[in-house]
Amino acid sequence: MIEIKHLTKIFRDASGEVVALRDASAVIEDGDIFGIIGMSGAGKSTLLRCLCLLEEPTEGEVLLDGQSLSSLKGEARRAAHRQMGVVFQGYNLLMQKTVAENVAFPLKLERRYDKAAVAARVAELLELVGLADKAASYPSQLSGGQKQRVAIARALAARPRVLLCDEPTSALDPLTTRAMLRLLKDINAKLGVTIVIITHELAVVRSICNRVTVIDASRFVETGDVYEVFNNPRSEITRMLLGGVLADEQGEREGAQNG
Amino acid sequence: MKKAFAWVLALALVLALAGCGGGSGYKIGIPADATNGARALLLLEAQGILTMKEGVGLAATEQDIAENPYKVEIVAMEAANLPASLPDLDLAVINGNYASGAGIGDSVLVTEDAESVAAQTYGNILAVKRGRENEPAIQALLAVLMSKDVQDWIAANYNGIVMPMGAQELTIPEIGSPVTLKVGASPSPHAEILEYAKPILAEHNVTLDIVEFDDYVMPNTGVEDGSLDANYFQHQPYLDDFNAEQGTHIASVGVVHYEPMGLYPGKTTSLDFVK
Amino acid sequence: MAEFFAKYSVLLGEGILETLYMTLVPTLFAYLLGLPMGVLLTVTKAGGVRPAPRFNAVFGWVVNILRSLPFMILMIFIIPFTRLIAGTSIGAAAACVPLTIAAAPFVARMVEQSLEEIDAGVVEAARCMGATDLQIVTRVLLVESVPSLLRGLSISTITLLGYTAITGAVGAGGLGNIAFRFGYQRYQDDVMYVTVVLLILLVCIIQAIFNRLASRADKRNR
Repeated sequence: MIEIKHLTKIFRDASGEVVALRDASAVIEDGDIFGIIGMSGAGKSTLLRCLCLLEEPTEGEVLLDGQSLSSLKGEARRAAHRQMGVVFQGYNLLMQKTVAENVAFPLKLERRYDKAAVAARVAELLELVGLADKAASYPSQLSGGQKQRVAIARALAARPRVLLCDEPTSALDPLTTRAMLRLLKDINAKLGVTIVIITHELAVVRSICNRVTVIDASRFVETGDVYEVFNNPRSEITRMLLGGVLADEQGEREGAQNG
Repeated sequence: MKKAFAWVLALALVLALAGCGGGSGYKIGIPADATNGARALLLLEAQGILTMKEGVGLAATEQDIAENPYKVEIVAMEAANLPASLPDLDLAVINGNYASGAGIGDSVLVTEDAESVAAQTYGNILAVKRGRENEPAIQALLAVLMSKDVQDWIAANYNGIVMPMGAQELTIPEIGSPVTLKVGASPSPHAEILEYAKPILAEHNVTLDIVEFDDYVMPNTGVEDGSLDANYFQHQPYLDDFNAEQGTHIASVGVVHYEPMGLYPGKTTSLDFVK
Repeated sequence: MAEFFAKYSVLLGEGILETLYMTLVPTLFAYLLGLPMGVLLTVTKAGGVRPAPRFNAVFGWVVNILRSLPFMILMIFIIPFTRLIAGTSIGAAAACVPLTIAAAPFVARMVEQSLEEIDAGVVEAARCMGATDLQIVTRVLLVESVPSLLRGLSISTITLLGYTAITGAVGAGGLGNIAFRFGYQRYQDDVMYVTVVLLILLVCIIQAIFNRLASRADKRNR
């Protein structure tokens, strides 16, 4: 369980301060596929960076199974890191390493797996993400969708309990997006991994998330079951997001009829 | 990758160690520049340390060594670095000014002698406008500079860095009415030597007006245009170049002193190894 | 032509060997010193893997001061140190000491530049996988920057080759020294031309080898 408690993040520099998150609270239950949706600049990325310990919150805290993450140092902090796999928007793969080496990377950091165990785990993960035939390729030889799959396999390698995905589909075409979402849903079902998805696309949340938080102007404006939030929007921003989607879907339907 | 790195490292270490070995013969440092390098080799030849090819003279380089019976290794380097490098050399041939600057002037083993090609060639000359060589006052100045008195004074006062060419008994011409000679000179040792000669010349009716110059052009142009009667600062090869380049007509009257190179001890403290 | 080579082949052959020796050995030792220095400069920077801005500023100054010393001065200034390390202050082996000292800070800056090219996101990804600072350096920074490091290596090597022309001042020989003493000072134009051509060839060969290595090592453009 991840508890986000009164999280505030303020960036200060010489030119003043920017409030990226203000008093944000939410609970993500084990096994959830939890969507965090908002426009660009709403504070989504800051939230993700606080969740995966890349930023220290100014106030408030993030609890993983009741333990505050910001208090952790050294090995305990690294252990917490390993509990949460992160899939970055830009993939952030090692460009000089093969697909298999990228996936093996988190395992080799731990030094408790022997070569055979690493190889077996890598094969298993590549099978899972459908890239068994690309083990010896380099990231530069892959498409965007394939790179994303490598990033997912890598994030899952150390058997984390949570998978944090930052805009996992924003760079992908619609077909690949659908396949990617199916994969994430699959992972959630098969491995029981809690998934947190940061996105600006309502369709992503609607198609795989069971719970959602709408974030706007650094605040969590509403949190709840996807069905409930989207059918009974209580905030202006949710209605705006929904309106965009309705218009999109209508356009798509018309396009399909014409074609 | 790691293996390749280990190989490269091993190779470099072997190379580095191999480089440190070096020859077992005597290491003798000489200046790397053309003139001083050649003078150094000729000095070594004069000491019987090696033999140069016939007739190479002051164009000699290490390439021109004909015989090297003691298997000396010639290390040519920046002249000014030689004193600092002596601890790593057996011997070094060093210009007097650098040796004295480094405070090792007294340890010199041998120097070029006045008969050496180097001294003859690079001895410092008294020069006048062509045609004035035989004027009585000029002859008087030359005679005094070459007198035993002045030449001994040079030998006694410069600790071997400045050496006399050797006294000559020249007659000082009778000069009836007083004459003033305006002579351009470098401050040291030239002006100092002239300063010593001044009272002696005064006894012979010649007044010396010494003009010091810090550059090597003005004293020659002064002699050429007549504002100086003579100068004393240069050696013959420089004057020849100057005449050729500037179209001047200046001639040497005589060689007064030379500034010898010396052989200085490093790890080897004597020349006893030369039989 | 035949006469020229009969007279100078030994001199030039020795010159090539001395130049190669004084280029390659100090390059290696300069990297042994400069690589950790460059890593230190990068990781202690504000926003680096382990920021230490005050240390970074001081260390950066030290590196800059070492880099701003003219090589000739450095070489003479550290003669006692050279003697301590190499046992002598003259010759090619001894020249490797000042060459190494002069090149190390240069190498440090080259390494720093290579490491800075790496996407900060990749470092964050490694951090999120639970990598220690040391693991980030050895398994991300140094691995991802290999092609760039190799290109830097070729620049460093060629810079050192340039320095070897000056080591003649401590009796270290080398092609540059031959060009200067025989070609320039004694007006032997033929010697000058041949040494210059040889030096250009050496530079081209070194550059070609490292470029090949770098592009073979780079997995980004396959």
